[in-house]
Amino acid sequence: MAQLHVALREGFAGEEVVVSVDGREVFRDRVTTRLQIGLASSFDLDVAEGDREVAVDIGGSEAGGPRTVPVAGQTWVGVSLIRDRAELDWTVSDEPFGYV
Amino acid sequence: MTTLDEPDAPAEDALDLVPIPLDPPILPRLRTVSGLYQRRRWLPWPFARGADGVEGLTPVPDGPVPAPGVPGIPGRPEIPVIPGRPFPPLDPPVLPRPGRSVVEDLRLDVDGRYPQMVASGTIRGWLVGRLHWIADLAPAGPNRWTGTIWYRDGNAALLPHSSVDIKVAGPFPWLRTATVAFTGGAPTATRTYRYESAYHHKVEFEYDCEQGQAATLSVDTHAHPNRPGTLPAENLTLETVYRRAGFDVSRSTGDNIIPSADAGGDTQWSDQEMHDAMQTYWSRFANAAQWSLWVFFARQHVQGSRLGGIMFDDIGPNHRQGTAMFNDSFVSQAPAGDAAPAAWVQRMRFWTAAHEMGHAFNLAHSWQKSLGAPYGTPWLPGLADEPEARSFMNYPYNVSGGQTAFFADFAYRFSDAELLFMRHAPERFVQMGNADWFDHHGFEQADVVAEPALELVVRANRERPEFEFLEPVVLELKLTNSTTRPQLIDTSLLRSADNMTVIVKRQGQAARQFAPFARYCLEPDTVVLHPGESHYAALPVSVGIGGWDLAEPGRYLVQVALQTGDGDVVSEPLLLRVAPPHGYDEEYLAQDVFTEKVGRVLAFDGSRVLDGANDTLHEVAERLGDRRVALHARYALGAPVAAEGKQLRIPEGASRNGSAADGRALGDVGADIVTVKAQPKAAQQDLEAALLASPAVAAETFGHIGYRRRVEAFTEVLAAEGEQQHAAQVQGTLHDTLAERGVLDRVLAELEARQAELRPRAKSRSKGTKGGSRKR
Repeated sequence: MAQLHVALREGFAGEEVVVSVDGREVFRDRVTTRLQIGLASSFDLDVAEGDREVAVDIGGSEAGGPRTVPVAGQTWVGVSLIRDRAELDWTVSDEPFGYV
Repeated sequence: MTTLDEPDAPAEDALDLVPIPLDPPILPRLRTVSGLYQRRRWLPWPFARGADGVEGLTPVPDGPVPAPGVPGIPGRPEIPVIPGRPFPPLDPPVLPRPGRSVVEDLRLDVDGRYPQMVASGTIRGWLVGRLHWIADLAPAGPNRWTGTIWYRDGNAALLPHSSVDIKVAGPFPWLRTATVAFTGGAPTATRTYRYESAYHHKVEFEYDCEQGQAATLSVDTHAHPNRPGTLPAENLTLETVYRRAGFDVSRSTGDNIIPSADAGGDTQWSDQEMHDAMQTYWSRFANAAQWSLWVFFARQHVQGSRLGGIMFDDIGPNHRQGTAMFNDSFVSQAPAGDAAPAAWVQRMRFWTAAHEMGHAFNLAHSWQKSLGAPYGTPWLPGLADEPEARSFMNYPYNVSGGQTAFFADFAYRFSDAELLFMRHAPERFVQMGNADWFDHHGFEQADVVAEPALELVVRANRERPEFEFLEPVVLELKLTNSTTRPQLIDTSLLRSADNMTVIVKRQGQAARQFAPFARYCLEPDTVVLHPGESHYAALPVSVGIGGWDLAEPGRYLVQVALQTGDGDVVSEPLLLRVAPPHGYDEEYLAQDVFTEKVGRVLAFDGSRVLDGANDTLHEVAERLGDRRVALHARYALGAPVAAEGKQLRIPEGASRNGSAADGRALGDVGADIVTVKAQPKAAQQDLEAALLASPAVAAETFGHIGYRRRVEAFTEVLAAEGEQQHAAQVQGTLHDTLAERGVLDRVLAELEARQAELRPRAKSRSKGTKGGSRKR
């Protein structure tokens, strides 16, 4: 098993966000970015190693969509809403994100 | 190990103090001219006839109605007049010079560390509003800069000009001035500002540390090999970072070690726990905007080691007062293989502290500068993100090339856009804790002391602040030492209109500034006010030179600002109510009472010459005997005749409006000053009715201070007439009345002492009358 750490970061303003991994809903909440740290919400889950399809749906927005994430060991995924909250920006890292 | 360094002294290089060219050159070495300049001016009351406008600025009170210009005085601006119960037109009054101060700041930013080539200014004054402006500058000669005003926030009418021409003169800071010619859009206005400081604002930091944690307050800039080649080697402190950003940084003496137990059983700090700790341990905590910041060094946040620090204070009404750094977090984990891991950690902790403190100055992250709705509003439209900025406000690991690239170019500074904001944005955008409730406060424009050492309360000596119709409203001022140390205060402050601004605002109407009939030039009377001790003064506010400000039935707000050397001490507003007329007689007599002459007679405790006003007061006493206004009427009738006094006597027909009709001196037309004899019996009847028939009611309506003053005056009259026993009885009534009303023991002791003085004489007189003992 591997661990996937998902962070919803910049650009969220109270929308309902649904995150699914391989078609299974793993997160649903209304989230707002806390601007002083650039983070809205985060969660961890155990997944099988390999390519996983992570989908993010933003309530009332066309910005959401799926992304294939290669997961090995510990994998960190950061998702931000950018370009006037019209697009998702994905960051995948094998190192944790830091916030200040 | 818990460490809190000693405060560092401002280093000269924090300011980059360098010679400036002189015109003409006088001395070889001068310091930079950037910094804060200030001027104070005095604006007249808006309703004082004959007052001058000032340099094209028209005082704009709340809801003014334009009135014609002052007749016969060319160039005088129109003076706004506020509707109310003003007096009818009179002869030109002898005007005192009442008014209020207007403070103008100029921030010049043309040299020194990171010059932005900008000047900004703030004009703030009570009832004139506030304006903040910013101009870009370009050199126009030795010590001279010109530019265009491109930003205004506030009452733009205060400065309609479009350009500035700034010239700095004076070889030494204490002689330095900046003269600014405001041009374009209005007739040129030239103002001269006095140099105050090399910094743009003052700010204070307090560093508190969780037990067992180290506070990172400084960094050796050369300790890590990955750095700009031009970076000076120094032990850089947080204070110096912010001094270079333009702030006069001081450090409070209240550094504390905070028990880890305050973080709860998990020993991780939540935002609420840190807010609680801030309220508990920060020596400067106040629910108010102030240039003061609490900086907390702790082990770990409840979010875990991925959070290196946070400006946690978005709780409650006053945000941005507290920040925190977490040592047990990713900022203490140097990358594997780093050449100097200990130096990396020290630098990262220092960077984090400066970063979180930057949030407290309302700085956004570098990539968030352009964010608008729904998050907020950029202070300037069109602000650009700075995702590659080598600024304290950017994430080192988010730039191209990561943290290695960031620190290779990082000069321990804020970006120019951030410096522009911190130095020149309107103060309320930057100052810690600034909040909406203060913006809408009645004394928004006052030069309010951030941490007042004195508390001012305006109150009525009665259970509820309700006044009968026609009853003169007498309030009480209470000035309290709110610190833990003794203070010297000048008690004449509370009695001098020069130092006090009183606003009376009837519900639904414009605010009016109360102006008493008389101003007194008082010798300073300095006393020691111990912690918690108060000084008191009476405040009659019904009638003054502006008319009867507090007359019509309705609800009123009364608020007082006391100008001290350290700024304005402002009271909370007192809400009071004037009841409707009790009957036809009150409505009918109101027409005669609400006149200037009756107002003057009541304000000065009577008159021997204003016979028409005295007739009105006689009628009030007769027809409204059960009303409180009758007590004031009877006192004003009795007091002037209680003792002999002097009076100007002018032969009939020789005078018009107080001057000899034919232009000669009054003395040349037969006027002279005569002594008028007392009428003790008539006076005694009126004074006893006013003061002693219903002493509790009298104490309420005259106020405790006014009641004491009047009764003691009556006591002296009786004593002078040889009626010692009666005087002692009157003094006893005063004592008992005020004792029942809970006045201070100190006051009661003074009354008892005076009563005791009178009693032996009364006995002595009695013995003398019977047995001739007075002869001994």
